[in-house]
Amino acid sequence: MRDQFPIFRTNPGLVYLDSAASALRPQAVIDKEIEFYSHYSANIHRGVYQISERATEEYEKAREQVANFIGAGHSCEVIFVRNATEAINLVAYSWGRSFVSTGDEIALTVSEHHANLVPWQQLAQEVGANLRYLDVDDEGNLPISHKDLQLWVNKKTKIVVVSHASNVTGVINDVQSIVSLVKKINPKVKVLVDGAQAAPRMPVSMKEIGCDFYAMTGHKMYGPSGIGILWAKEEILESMPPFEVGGGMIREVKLEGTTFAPIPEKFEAGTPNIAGAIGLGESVRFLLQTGMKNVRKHEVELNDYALTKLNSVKNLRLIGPKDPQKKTAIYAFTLAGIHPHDLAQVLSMENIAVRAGHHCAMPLHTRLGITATTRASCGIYTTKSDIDKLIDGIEVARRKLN
Amino acid sequence: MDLYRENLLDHYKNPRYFGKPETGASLVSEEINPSCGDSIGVAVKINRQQEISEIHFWGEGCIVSIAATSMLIEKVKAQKKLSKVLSLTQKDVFKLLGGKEAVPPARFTCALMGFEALKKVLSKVAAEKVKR
Repeated sequence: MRDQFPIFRTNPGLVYLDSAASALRPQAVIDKEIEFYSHYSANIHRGVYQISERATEEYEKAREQVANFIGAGHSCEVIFVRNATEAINLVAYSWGRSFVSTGDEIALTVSEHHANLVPWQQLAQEVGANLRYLDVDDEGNLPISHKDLQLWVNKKTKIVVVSHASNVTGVINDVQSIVSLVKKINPKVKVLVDGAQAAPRMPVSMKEIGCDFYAMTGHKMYGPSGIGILWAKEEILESMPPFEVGGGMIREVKLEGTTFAPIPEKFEAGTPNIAGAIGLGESVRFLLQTGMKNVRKHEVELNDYALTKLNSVKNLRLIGPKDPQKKTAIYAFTLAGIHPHDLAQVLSMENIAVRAGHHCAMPLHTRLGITATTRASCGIYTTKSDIDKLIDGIEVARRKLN
Repeated sequence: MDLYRENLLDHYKNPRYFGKPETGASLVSEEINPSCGDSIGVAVKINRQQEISEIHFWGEGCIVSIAATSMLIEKVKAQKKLSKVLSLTQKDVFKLLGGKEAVPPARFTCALMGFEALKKVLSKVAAEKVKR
């Protein structure tokens, strides 16, 4: 697997444990972007010449590849955006400002990434809606019994937003059960799932989850940066006004007014990130070829190994579930007496890449009673030897800084 | 590059003039690091000779932020004169840390937290003066 990632050749000895921030790119994805730029780098749609037709074909093929990857009903439900943040903002602005009003409720959780929290706070402030947070337990698990969810969701709730997997604790939320339970409490409620951390790490199926919106980002899926996906049910997309307006998303423009193109074009104003979308198509092909069940199996094996190893490190407090089956291969921890930034700095001197801080989840850190953590996160190229090097690096830091 | 020199670790383990002052007469300012939630506060007292008669800092931070602030406060204490202290720049802070090249760019915020808090509190001194 590692030989498919050229960065390991250009950076010998690199121990990359920051895949939850951005995954590395396989040669196939890089080649695919180069193919676009060197063979058919024209604008898409309405170009009546060969290379534009080819670009359009590849761009639309990427949409179909993504639709297939997430088990979507139809590829018109796949909207190309910049990243998961933009996907969520699109929903908060377009759907939110049309369907959420004064006195309505938005149900979210304390463990959300800021990307799935701030857009809803802003929406609530603007329209006078109320936010209702679901708290986590000390491991970061959401309580999802019918009783718990009845306190969270009611007839006033317009939308429930929840991440599929946490970018800090690694907790995998049972979104399928959450969707079915909240829709029993309020059949009209919409559910948005932030899939940024789940889509690259486990099989995901829109049909099985049953949610209304699902957000993803390319750079965490071994694809290019600057390309993300919003998936939404066709009839909901039809009911929403455009997010941005301009070229590429119109049917007819007159001086008096405009009619819009059908979905998905309605939500893709302006020239999109064509190379990025085509590269993302290749990255999901790469993931499907690897097999998402295998990807998940690899993560559980790493969890088995890393959780035992990390738990045996003196003065280390691991955040998140102890059960390897319940989480993704993300390990956030604190080390008594050593600040996460200092630890990450010393690890960097050892050529080990980790991240330190609150990982864009300040409310979760506050809830868990910590200011910051060091986070090591795995990808499909991560080996047990990477984990060993991390453990050794922690001891180097301890010697150096104490 | 060795950011974590002996001198730096010493300032981290034994920060100079560390602790929140008890009296309410000091001017106080706090600064936070948005990337990790750390915070550093600085309090000063100015006498009639326009000198810094007392200075303290407190907070929670990494080695870089605590040590940089400790070194800076030590320098301020030695300089004493408000006019001199006001002319301190970011460059002076990096000099204390062994030069700007010793500090990785991602840690500039850590290195400058104490300096920013000091600048804020000194601007309050200037404001007080205007009021008088």
